[in-house]
Amino acid sequence: MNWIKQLFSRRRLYSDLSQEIREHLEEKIDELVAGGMSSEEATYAARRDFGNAILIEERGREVWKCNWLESALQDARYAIRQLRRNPGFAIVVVLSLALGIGLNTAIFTVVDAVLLRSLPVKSPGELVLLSDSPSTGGQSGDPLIGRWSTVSYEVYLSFVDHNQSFQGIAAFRSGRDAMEVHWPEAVSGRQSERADGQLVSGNYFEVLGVGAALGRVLGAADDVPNARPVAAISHDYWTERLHSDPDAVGRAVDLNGTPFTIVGVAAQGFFGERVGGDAPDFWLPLTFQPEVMRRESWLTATREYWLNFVARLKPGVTRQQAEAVLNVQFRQFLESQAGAKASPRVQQAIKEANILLVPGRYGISFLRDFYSAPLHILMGIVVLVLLVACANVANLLLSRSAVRQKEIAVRLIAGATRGRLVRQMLTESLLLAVLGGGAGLLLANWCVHLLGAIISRDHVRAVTTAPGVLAFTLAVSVLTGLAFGLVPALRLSRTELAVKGAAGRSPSGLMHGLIVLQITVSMTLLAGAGLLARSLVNLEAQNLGFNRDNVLLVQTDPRLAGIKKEDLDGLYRQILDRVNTLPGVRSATIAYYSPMSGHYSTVGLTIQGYSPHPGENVITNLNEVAPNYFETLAIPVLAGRPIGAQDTPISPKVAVVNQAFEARFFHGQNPVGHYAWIGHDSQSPPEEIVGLVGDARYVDPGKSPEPFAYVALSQVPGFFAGDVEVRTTGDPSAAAAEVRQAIQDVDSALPIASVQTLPRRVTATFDQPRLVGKLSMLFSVLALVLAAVGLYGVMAYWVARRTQEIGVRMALGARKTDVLRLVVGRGLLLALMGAGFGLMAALSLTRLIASSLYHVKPADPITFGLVSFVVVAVTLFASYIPARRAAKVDPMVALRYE
Amino acid sequence: MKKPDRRDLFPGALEMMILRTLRRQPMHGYALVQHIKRTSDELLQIEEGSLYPALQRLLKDGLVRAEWGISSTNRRVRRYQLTAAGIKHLNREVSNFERMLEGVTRVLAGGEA
Repeated sequence: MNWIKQLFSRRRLYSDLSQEIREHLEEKIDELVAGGMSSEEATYAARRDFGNAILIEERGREVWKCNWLESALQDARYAIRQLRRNPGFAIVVVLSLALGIGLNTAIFTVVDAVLLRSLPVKSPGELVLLSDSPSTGGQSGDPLIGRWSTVSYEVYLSFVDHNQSFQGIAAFRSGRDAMEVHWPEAVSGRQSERADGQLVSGNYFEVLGVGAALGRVLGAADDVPNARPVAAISHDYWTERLHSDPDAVGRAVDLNGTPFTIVGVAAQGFFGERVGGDAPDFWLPLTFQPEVMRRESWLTATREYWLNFVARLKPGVTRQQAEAVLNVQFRQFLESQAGAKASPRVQQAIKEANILLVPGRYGISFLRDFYSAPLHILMGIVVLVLLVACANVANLLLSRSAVRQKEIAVRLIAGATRGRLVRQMLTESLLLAVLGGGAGLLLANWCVHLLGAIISRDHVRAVTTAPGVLAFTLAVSVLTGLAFGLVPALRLSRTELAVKGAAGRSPSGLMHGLIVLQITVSMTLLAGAGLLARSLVNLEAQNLGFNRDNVLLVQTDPRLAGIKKEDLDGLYRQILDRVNTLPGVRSATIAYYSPMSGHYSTVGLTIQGYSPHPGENVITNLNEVAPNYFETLAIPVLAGRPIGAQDTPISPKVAVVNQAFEARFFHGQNPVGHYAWIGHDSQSPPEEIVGLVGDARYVDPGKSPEPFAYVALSQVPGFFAGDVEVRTTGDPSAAAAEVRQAIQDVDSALPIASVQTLPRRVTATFDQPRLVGKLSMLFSVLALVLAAVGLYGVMAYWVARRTQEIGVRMALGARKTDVLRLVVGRGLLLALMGAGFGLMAALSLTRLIASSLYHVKPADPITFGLVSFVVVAVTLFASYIPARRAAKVDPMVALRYE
Repeated sequence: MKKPDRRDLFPGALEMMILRTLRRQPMHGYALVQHIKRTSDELLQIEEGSLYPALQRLLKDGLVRAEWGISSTNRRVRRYQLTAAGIKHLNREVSNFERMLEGVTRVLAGGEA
């Protein structure tokens, strides 16, 4: 049809029509005048005979309209005209909405990137994982008690052999391995460099459904005994390190001393099963575990639990079914391995052993673990902020409805129906909402940059232009438009009454209700933010159990320098001697890991004279430390002695434990002088507990301390430790260069992975609660400002409508203070109602964030009192301004008003 | 609420009368109304304006064509003219109408007997 042509010639058609109607009327008038009528009578007669010209013209135009879209477009044009007539109103509304929608979009962008993104693999919904815990490393215990979240190679193979529920089961090492890379041909000037490698089973890529961008990925044939050592590389590594070299396939590379051949590049965008952080640079078959890790084989070790697995469910099999089948096989396998003469303890452990399959769609994400709770809190907060913004806008629309009643009356007379009017009003609201949404996207973009700066080190690719985010923003905008637009639209369309002469009911009641809602929500938000802030203060002020000041941390990795195990003890001693002689160094030590590094290791143990409860998992955290460890970190020695230079490979083995250890296993009795087998079985001699030290927080400063044991690094032969801790006399960062140099002087091949001061690292562990605390405070204050502006607007409107009444009162002798009291009293009433409801809402809602609070009760009276005071003070101020204006009313002017 | 306009005619009747009138000769809106009123001896009460939406419908369906011109009384007028499609449509409508009228008449006559 030619309707497209018509669409463009529409303007012509319309002007022809109206001209034609004008001509018609003129011709008729001329004729009637010629017939002897006066021109006035003729005009009247012509109009009467013609009918309602406006309506007829509209009906004539409607003929050309093809569908609802056009009338919607017409509504939109009308709406734009309306808004342009009131730019101030439009700007205030759009800004309010931009704030509400923008914050929602910003937080959702991060939620989308961190919590909702599926792995970029084939049908991720079919995947299950043995564990989605982001902590790396394996469990330990002989046997493991309770849930197995890592398995030995032997158990993995038994699952593969008896597989019923899965299309495939692929194992991978839970954690990455540092690689020392040598390219035979000089790819770059440097001789050796570091990279990340991950050990995976041969079917890893097949199970995930990931192909190669170049060459091939690893296959089952690469992961068999005596296979040729091959590796696949990630797309990022290929483009960044190898400059997208098309001849990368077939290239030889030396990894941790073993020559591997690169067989291919994995598909672009594939980063493994671990979300957040870079992809591993190399994927290597499990068979090469001893070569890659440079340690004894774990392929035959039945007590090394080092593998996680990902499996793809067969169609029609649920995760629960697969889990049930797997657990039956699992216990049968454990029983067959243990044999008939298993001790009662082992039999009990087998009975309790279980495997829990978790959904694999989203992979393993450190970020999800870390940010899930705060993101939920923030999302809740911004939804409430949007609610406040909506109420604000609804109030603005309501206060304008008085002005618009005249316009609506005209449209009703011109023949508009009620439905049409509601549609028109809603179009205006939607237009405002979409404008607000657009502005909100800009704001969100800016906010995400700010958020991104904090979480960028975790490689979150959060962009507001992601399709999910855009859809979210659009949906939120439309819902918002409906939410704030519907009530005013329905009210306005009832203007029919007004046509009959009444000025229309005042929407004050509804407006006051909305104000109370706004104050309630702001109050709730502020209470929540106040609790988080107090909790943060508590966290930062708490005693961590060590003195963080003046401590420098330098990480190295002797394994990467190709140091032999038997030379380690000498190396450690050399490093410490060297560093200790530096000026400005008070003491130095080496440990497996340092506090707040994100690392920790947990081992099972047997304590002489301690009998565990049935099913008790006797475990402790363990750290291997050199002499001067407690002195360097200023962890107080409470009884006995610290680990010192007298503890050598040939002297009796010793351990030092913390207070939580004492409380748990010795019930307050002095543990010094007792013996324990820490992390090993009773075949080898036990450690003697020689000292008791204070509790130091190693992982989560918000958690109560756990049992912790320290053993002498020198008494664990061949143990690779790389954390050098140095206490300096002055600013620790000033000593950084010298310490680094001293370590490299000992062996120039020792790589320095990181140099950091302990105060800085501790501060960094509070980044997340600080971010959440700051943002929730900022958002709540914004909500309160919106509510205050809203209250101001409503009170100003109320005063304006009552100018006459106030004038009468003043004429009858009311004083200015009486008027002030009248208006402020009304504002105060609203504020108190809002604060009251807010207190009730906050009392029930802050319980939701209880797990994020540290040493603050969800119903903390100080926070609640302070917040109530702030809310009432701010709202009083907001109603004081209109009150002053009311008090200035001149009775004479007011009485003449209208 | 009052109905916006009284419909004394059945749907399509106005269009049919317009087409029939235009078949005789091209005319502008005002002349059309006057002609219809005159020929029906003022029996048909039509609002003059209601002609225009009907004309727009005919224009849209391509049954008539419109052109601006100057009338005999030296006035700028928009003259409507039947198209070939319009003639066909008119013939069909008229025969439909006659058949319907015949049916209605028979029923009415039977009702009297």
